[in-house]
Amino acid sequence: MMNPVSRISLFVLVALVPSVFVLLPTIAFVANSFFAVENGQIVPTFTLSNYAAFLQQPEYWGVFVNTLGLCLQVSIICLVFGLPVAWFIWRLPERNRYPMLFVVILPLFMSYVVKLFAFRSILGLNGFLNQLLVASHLIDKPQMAFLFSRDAIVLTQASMFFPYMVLPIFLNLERIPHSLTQASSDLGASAGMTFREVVLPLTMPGVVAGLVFVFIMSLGDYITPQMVGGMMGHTFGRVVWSQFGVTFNWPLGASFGVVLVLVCAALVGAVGMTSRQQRI
Amino acid sequence: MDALPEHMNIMAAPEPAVAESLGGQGHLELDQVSKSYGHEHALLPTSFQVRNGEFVTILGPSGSGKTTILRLIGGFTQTSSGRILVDGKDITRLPPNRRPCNTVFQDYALFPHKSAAGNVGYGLMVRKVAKAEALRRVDEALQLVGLETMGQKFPSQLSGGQQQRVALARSLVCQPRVLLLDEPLSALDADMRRQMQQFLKRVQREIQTTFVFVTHDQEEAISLSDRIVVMSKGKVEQIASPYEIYYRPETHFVATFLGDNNLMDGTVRDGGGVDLPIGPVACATDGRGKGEKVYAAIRPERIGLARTIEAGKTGIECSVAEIGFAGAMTTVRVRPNSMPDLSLLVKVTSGRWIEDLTAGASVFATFDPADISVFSRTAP
Ligand SMILES: Nc1ncnc2c1ncn2[C@@H]1O[C@H](COP(=O)(O)OP(=O)(O)O)[C@@H](O)[C@H]1O
Ligand SMILES: [Mg+2]
Repeated sequence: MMNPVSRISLFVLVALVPSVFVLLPTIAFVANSFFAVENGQIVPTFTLSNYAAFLQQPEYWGVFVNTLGLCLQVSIICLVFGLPVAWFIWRLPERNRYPMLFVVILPLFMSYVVKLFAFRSILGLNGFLNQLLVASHLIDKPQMAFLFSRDAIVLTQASMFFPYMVLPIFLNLERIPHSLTQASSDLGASAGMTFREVVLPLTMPGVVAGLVFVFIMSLGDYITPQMVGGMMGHTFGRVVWSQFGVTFNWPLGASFGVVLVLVCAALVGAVGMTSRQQRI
Repeated sequence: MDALPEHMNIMAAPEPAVAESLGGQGHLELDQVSKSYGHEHALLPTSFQVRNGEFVTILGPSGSGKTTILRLIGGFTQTSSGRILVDGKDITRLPPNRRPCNTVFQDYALFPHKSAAGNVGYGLMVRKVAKAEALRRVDEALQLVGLETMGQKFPSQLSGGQQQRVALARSLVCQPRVLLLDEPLSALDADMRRQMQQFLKRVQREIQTTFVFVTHDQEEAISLSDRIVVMSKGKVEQIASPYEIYYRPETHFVATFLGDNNLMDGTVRDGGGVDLPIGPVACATDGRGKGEKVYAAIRPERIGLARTIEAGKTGIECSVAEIGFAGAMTTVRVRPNSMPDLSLLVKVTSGRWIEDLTAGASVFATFDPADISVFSRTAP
């Protein structure tokens, strides 16, 4: 047994790391959002003007609402493709199941930047997609339309965050006892009915988790819009980033950050509440 | 064999009228059905029939292929060879949802997101039975299993025994020709298990549905079944009534798997009877040839003990080696004086004189040769 003194000092030591590196920056960040900027200097007063600016100026909240729409679009695309893929993997014979899952989540092990450049080279002017369409005579000359558009952001984010949808759904499916699908079939249900009546309802927690993962990652992503979105890539993540990196209005940027955190927390909280009401 | 105590009977007898829309009597036939996984034979070619309304139990130790048989009948596993017929119709290649059988799963497999009534009505919903009729049939089924007030509860709000009964009602509401039950009671504690045994038997008598019941519990098999299929290592050892399985085993496995037994090596005598270590015994040998090596088995309760023996009767003089008092019955291990290496297990009613019995005492062991069953020592 340790004596109380060394036990307390050990606790302080262990608690120190997270408090210094997580808690303090967060506090500083939230505090900043209430500060003002005068002559390019941050003035530590208390003001709500940063939040007021967010609510009053359409170029901020308008972009924010648009971004929420984009994130929703990305999440839904991931769901539409992710659910069948997860289901397909789950139905594979046991020995193929995990290798197949690994293939699907393999992109997670690749660098973010490498993936983005890959998308640029697919969607770009001399990219794979343009060449393919020209070669098949569907268009006469390469066009820029694929890159630097809202669709390019949606497409790129949807494929990058795809594994985050498949993984929770698959893990949820794995928890459904096979006897349940067998019982459904035994009671006369076709494969489609079993999916609708048994598999889908029991997979809802995984679906919701996947949606939240993808949504939050899409919301916080400011690099993809920049890399494939061009001028159109004016998403809220970029707006936040530019307050820090371009206009050096840190308090305004911090208030935007707080808004983002609150939205994410509300989302996670709402999901937590609904999943607790479920009987599974 | 201990009978099940009658006072355990707490569930109200179902109304006879209820049973009419539930269940049907199907005739099940397995014709040379086998199953192998790669080179491993889970089930060797097996044939047997289950008659309309019969309660047949498949009994065997873990890994003997019981579940395999049920899964083959239910359609969850494909046969490697052979045919399965219900009412003369070949169902071997039909998917589970098109077979006239329903299964009660070992883990109940209730849908956690549906209420008890939702679970019971599932089979009717997928068959698109009209709402009013479905409601009536669900009510009837819940009433049959004594859960008419529990319809709105979810599986997580029900006890193990109640979940079991919901699973039973859910299967019966589909009116199966054959009901398959895979160790349905193994997850219940001893008391609940005895209640459910009685309950199952009563339901089966009530609705007269053909039951194929799987268990590894010998007492359960003996007390519930019309006939028992004893399995070992993917092979059927014997198919017979509980009485015959118990008192007329045909293989070494059956003779030793169910309860205590006395087994002796013997040789068939010229002109009937068997030479046993305790001397020649005039028991039936079912036309076996002279000199055939056999086993002779006699149940401990079919051997009597006596202090003295009346003139004219025969008894084997033994000395008592061990006495085990177990309430109504006392188990005595005796060694014949002529064959001290042999030990016989005897179960007698605990009479007054047994109280005075001590190890080393001299007693006579008596039995009726008709109680000895003889079977071949070479595996068939
Ligand atoms: N899916 C499977 N793959 C390989 N072997 C199996 C499979 N299912 C069952 N077996 C084998 O078949 C044999 C019989 O199993 P089972 O029918 O489950 O026995 P029981 O129900 O009597 O305990 C066992 O040896 C088991 O290992
Ligand atoms: Mg089994």
